Amino acid sequence: METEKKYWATLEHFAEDPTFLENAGKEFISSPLVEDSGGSGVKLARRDFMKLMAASTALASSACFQKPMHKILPYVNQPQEVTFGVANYYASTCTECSSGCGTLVKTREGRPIKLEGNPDHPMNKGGLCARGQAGILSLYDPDRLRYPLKSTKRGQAGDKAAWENIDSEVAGKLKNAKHVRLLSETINSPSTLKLTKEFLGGLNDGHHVVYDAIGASNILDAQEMSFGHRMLPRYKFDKADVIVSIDADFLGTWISPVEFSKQFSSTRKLSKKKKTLSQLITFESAMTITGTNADQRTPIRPTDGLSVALAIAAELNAHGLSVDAGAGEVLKGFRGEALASLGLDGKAIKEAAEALMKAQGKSLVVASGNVDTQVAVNLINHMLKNDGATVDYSGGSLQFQGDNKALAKLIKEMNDGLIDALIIYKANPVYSLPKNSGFESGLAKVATVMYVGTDLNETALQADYVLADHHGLEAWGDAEPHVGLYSLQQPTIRPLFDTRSFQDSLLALGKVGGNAKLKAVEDWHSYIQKNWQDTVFKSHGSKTSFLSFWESSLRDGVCDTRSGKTSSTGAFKGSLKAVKPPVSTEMQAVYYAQVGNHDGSMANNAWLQELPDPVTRICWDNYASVSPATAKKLGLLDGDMVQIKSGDNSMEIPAHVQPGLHNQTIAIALGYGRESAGKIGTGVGKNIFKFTNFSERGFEFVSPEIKIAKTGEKYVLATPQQHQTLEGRPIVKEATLAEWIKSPNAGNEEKENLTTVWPVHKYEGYRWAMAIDMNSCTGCNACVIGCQSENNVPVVGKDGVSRGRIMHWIRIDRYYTGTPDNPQVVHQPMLCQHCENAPCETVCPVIATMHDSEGINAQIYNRCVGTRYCANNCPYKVRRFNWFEYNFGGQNRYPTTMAQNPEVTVRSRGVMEKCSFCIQRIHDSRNVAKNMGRPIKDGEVKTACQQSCPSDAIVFGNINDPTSEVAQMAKDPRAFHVLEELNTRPSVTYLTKIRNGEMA
Amino acid sequence: MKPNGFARSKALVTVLVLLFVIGGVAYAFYGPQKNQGYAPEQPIPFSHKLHAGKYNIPCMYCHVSAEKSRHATVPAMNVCMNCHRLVKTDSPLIKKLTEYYTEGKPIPWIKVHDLPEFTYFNHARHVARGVKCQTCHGEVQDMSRVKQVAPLTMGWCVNCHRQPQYNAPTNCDTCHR
Repeated sequence: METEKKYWATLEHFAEDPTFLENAGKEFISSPLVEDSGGSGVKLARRDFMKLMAASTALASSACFQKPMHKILPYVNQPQEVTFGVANYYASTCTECSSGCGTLVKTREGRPIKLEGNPDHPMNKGGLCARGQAGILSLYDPDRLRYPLKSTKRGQAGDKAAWENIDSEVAGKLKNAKHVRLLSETINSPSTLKLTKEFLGGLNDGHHVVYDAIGASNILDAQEMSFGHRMLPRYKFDKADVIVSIDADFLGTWISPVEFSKQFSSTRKLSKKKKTLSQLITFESAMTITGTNADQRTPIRPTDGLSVALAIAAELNAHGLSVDAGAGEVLKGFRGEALASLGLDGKAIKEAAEALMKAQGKSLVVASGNVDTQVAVNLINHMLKNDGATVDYSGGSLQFQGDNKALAKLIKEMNDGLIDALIIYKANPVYSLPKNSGFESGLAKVATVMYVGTDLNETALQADYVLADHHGLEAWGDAEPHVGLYSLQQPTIRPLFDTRSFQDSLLALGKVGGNAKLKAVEDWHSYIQKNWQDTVFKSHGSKTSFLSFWESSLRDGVCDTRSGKTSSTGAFKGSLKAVKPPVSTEMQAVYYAQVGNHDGSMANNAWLQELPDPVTRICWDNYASVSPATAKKLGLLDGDMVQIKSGDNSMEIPAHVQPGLHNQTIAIALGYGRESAGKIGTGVGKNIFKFTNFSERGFEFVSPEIKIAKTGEKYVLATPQQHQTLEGRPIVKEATLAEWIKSPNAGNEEKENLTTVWPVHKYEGYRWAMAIDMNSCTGCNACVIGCQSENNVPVVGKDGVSRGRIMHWIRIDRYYTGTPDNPQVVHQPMLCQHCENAPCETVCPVIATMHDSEGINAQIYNRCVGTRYCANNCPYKVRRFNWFEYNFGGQNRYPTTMAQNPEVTVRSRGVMEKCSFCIQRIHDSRNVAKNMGRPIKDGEVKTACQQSCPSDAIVFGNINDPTSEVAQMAKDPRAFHVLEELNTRPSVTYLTKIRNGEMA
Repeated sequence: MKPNGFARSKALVTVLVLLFVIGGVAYAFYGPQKNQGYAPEQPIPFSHKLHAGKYNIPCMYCHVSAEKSRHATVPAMNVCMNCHRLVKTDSPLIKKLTEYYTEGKPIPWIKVHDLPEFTYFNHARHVARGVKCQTCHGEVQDMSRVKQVAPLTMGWCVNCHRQPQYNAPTNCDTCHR
């Protein structure tokens, strides 16, 4: 049964395309030395190359008898907390988005080298997303603003200016301005909000407008319309047995994905005691990891979200859940046969409603999309009595506070010439606001524009003054992501450049401008302290002195004063708009956020650019995804350029054929096409924000009518998946929940029992092993960045990726099953399996890869001569070759090299590398244990991927200890090894994926 | 017949290969040991003979992190100044030290025991097992200028690790990662 189920990685694979099948068997898809003759005309064959190499080696070796002289520069005054060679961890808060996860900053000799989630933070509980972890690279971004700028002509980068001059000039202009506005992204810091209020209070008509490029303004507006409070509720996915998501990618990008992944994965664990799974039902226009993790997924058109929500409400109403008369009237139009005329899948909606009916008070419906959809969703949750259970209104969340109505008002005021001075903090509206918003024309009418941020982005180019901001790792700060949940952010490195934090800038401007309230404030740090003393300290009710409270909060990074009780909100008083959903046969477009690039603010981060999308597996570009049937109709193949047109906007963009889309849907990722991001991010992909629609009702990341036509040109999309297929062998094993309850080894019946001719390794002490629960893994890719940061994994660029040279030590393979219309998806983390009978070990001519006494397949770089035999012989394709000197970019890479982990060798050209099971972390724990004279405890060693995982899918430990968690998991009836039939005997165990529903 | 380009380059390659072989042999025999006995002149001629020998200052008084970290570390300059704020302040060398210190400049010491960067030797583990500093560094307390006594080659490391009484690991990834 299992062997008949077909898994496929790409559509070519599904169709068994001959070129694909030929390439699938190759480890290296292009021969690097003979190709590339097109441009330069140089043809270098292997033998000629060898001759040249021999000559150059001889010359080089004749000159290297004496080792180069190295110097030791000691500290002049050694800081007390620094022990050279020992890492310090500081609790802080992530500043890469406004979700405000708690972090631990790992520093070495005063230099942050890795960001991890704070295990004590009640929200993210140790997990941290790909973007959060990549923040370390943004700190050391060479393209960051290094000093303040003053521009004489908008659109051009300004000249270096001194802080004093900027302060006196800007303060003077602000003082004279009649109307001042501050435009920023959501600020989740209570102290900063207090400061901005006091600062603006000292100016004429000073107001703060909050706007998020990808935010939750529609949800907030809908809350106000439904219940009278503009409040973002806290969603409790862990309390929900049935979850319905309408285009809300809560596992990847929606509001607080790490928190939600933690919650959701807790409902997806199985054990002897817990034999239930939550049920996730999605209706999606784009294909996101929330959809791929769903038990039932229905592709919809981008404009269908509202109809789906109303249809579900109508079905619930028909099941006896009452609504008021007005709503009842509207819902009548979304029942029975009306659904077919709306182009909706009535069966899927009926099933979703039935599942929800059974889980009243224990279900959760979430959506992205416009205000009407959100109101309908609020009604559904209200009907199901989820308010106060899975939708918590006690305090609420402050993670997104954007208000698009206020933004629309601001833009109007700007265009009317009312605003004299505009301060823009962090937000990048020139890039992310659509053309029809009128922001740019309004900006031209503002006399003084001041930008505060870390990079010279599109908005900063339009500013008169650019105040270079600290990176979050250089600055003090605090955050309040949920009302009553406070965390502190502390600087972990002295500012690299002549920058100043936003808050210190406000203080300086306030002081120069004669702001009475800010006059006495010493600095930003003391301001936060004072604010905490007045607010957090009081509400915490601590009996200690404030100083000891402050110190303990700083040490823990977090202070939770929430009551822990959930509460509901008042009666539903929203009105359902009698909407007429479009029934058109035209193509529609949806613009979605990706886990890596998201809103484009981190576009200059090479780790994120090279992070393949979890579903399409494409990096370094965005593209127009269309369904296979539509592609066939339009004659499109992957990489065909298409022209898309919507209203006045038109753009050429490569097409990607994506299974699982509605035939009328084009899905395009936001966050690309930055025009001024830096050396890495400028010009990568196309800016689809310009296609979005902005009105007073907010953003709509949807084009209800879009024209698409093939241009005839070709484009290369870089993906690491195509050449990484595992050729139809049973790599992934899965079963349904019902099957699993009947027999715990369902889907995993076939076990190989092979003997080996090799001597069996004996382990007297530890034997390190890993177990991965495929049921928990959502494919969010956080582990990929965690590993990259920990192990100095280089970036190879788009060209390198398309040649199959991506260097990631861990990747998340994505396999489809079923049909291309609506396939089911499996995400499988794939890393070195540390085989007992490792095929790589036996072929290495110089024994550079070998088995150690604790079960680790070690790769010894200094011994490797780069034959690549090992990679060729590895059935898992997890070995990575350094084709070039990826890690030594020369002087212009300052300060990027500071992000590197000194505990891991920086590999140079010509050597093979791969996952080491984070051997340096094992050594660290071993040192701690040895110093205390005890063995290493279970769970003490955490690999970087395991540490970062927001859904706790990865377990690592000593399998020789039968009580260890990893040993328990390896004994589970669900446990299997990938490619067991090869008798490689991997140390990585996978647990079968169990679906709560039918299998494709 | 005129010798063609290939024949000429063949001769060149032969010569180069010969050079390469000779170079390689010379390197194997003399290369690594070249560092044995390496005793560069330091910016300040600090004498271990005086400090560790005559005055019996324990090694770990200055090399504090040898028991905490994989690096023994050259002491921070404030450690020097602990004593030399008062001791021998009129000596020209101590004046030089004080000058470095007051200007906030580190002394650019020259590294004597210089392991390659792909080698992760751990001082703390060896100190904890009671390996004497002198085992690897020689009789430093008798040196007025520090020199490398042991060859510090991998073979030399492994020779010790292989002794059964030490029960030391010989995994590659103990030192290379």
